[in-house]
Amino acid sequence: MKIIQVRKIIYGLITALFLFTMGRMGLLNPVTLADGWQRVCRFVGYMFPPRMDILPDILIALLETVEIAFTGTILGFLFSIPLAFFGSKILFSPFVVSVVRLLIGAMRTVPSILYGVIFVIAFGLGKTAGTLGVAAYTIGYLTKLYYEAFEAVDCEVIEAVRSTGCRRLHLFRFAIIPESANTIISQLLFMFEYNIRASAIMGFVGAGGIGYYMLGYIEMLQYQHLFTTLLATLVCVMVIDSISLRVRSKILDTEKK
Amino acid sequence: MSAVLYTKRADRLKKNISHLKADALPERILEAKGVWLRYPSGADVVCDADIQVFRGNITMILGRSGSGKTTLLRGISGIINVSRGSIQWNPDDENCPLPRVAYIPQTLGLVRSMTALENTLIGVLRDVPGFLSLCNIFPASVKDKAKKILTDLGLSGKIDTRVSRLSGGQRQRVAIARALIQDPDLILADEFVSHLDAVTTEEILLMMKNLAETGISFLVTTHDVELAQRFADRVIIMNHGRIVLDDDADNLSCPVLIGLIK
Repeated sequence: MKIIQVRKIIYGLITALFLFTMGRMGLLNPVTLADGWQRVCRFVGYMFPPRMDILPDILIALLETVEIAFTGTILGFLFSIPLAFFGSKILFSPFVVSVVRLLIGAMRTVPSILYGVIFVIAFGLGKTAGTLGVAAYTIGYLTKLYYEAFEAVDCEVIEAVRSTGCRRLHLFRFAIIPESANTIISQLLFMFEYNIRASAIMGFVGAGGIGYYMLGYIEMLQYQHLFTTLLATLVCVMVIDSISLRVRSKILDTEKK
Repeated sequence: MSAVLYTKRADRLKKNISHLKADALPERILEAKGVWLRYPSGADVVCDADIQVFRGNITMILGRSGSGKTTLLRGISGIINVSRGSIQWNPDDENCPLPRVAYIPQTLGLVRSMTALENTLIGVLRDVPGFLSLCNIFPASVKDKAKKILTDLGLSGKIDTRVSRLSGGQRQRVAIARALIQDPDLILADEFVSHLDAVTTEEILLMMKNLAETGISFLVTTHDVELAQRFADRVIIMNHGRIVLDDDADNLSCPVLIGLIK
């Protein structure tokens, strides 16, 4: 069979599967879609005009969200660097690497909100639980990104430094960390951006931050309040994203030079 | 190049060869017998290689791409294990301590985000107490030595410049400095000047020649027959993983070398 025919069959199968799942999700039913769309319009209508009198409370909660994201990200980062050191194939035996990767894989399968629930049970309601939840989730992701970055370091740099007879920790400190520094910082900033969003919903399970207010306004049908909260969160996320983007592009520029 | 560095090495060389007769060959620093090297895929890349490197000599390994030059160098440096055969250090004097070997890979293996001085100091990590060096704290004497080597190599104005901002020739010198600070008896260099222009190549190889006169041995891989003819004391030719010639460079002409490589 010709390659073009095989491709056509594959595309056909993917399209059929997509349409099948769309149908199963109720997305091909025009009545459901029309009803839903009408409700969305009504819901948006209830949101206007936003209530600005609650802004001081919202800003305090938003600050708490940023605090949770910042502290959780840094805490996760501090644990992920040594874990990535032990999880790197170029530094440790396959046994050590497998153990670390298994642990990290298990940590990544738990969603951040579930970590929030676990830590609320352990430490009670509030931002302590949220911060630890964000940190646990960050460890799972950053460790994986970091050991992959370490393994991508030019093998000739590794060989040249290793050939001096230095210790493993020296190799890590003087070759692997400096060579992957840009990736380390770039991924850390990306994780911080991501964690701002993750922290925003931590409040849904009582783990502090703006999410607590969002859930409250939804439950009390106070959609104007909710809209103010969403707007404030949006502005905050955009500001942090743009700062992070600038820093990251500066890092990439330095790397090119 | 510093007179002090030269004198120290020249004295060592004199001491090492003092027991040899005037017309005898210099002392051997390395003898490899029947060395076979293979990669994890299982294919033999170097087959039954016999080579010897003499103290204070520049030995150049010539061969086409894929002939096994780099693998042989990596085998000698210990980066890959020898699957068969033996490598003996100081075969003429068994009581002599193991020589110090420095390795310079093809792309030099410098850490681009670090300065020339920091890259040079990497060479002494083995000898500096772990905790201090991890905090990037080195004894003043070690730092002074590194600065002196860099100055001797013509990099006095670039000591605190990041390697990523140095030219190809300057990077080559930093790699040599990192090797020299290890007080090596043998420097292994892979395709050492292949990326440089003719003038810089000439400068670097003259520097290598001067260093060889101080007693340091060089084992260098190259594609360039003419350079080997001009700068090498001995030439080894590899073809399809086997050594087809190991002789004094003076006994060989360019057409002969080209003929053997083909």
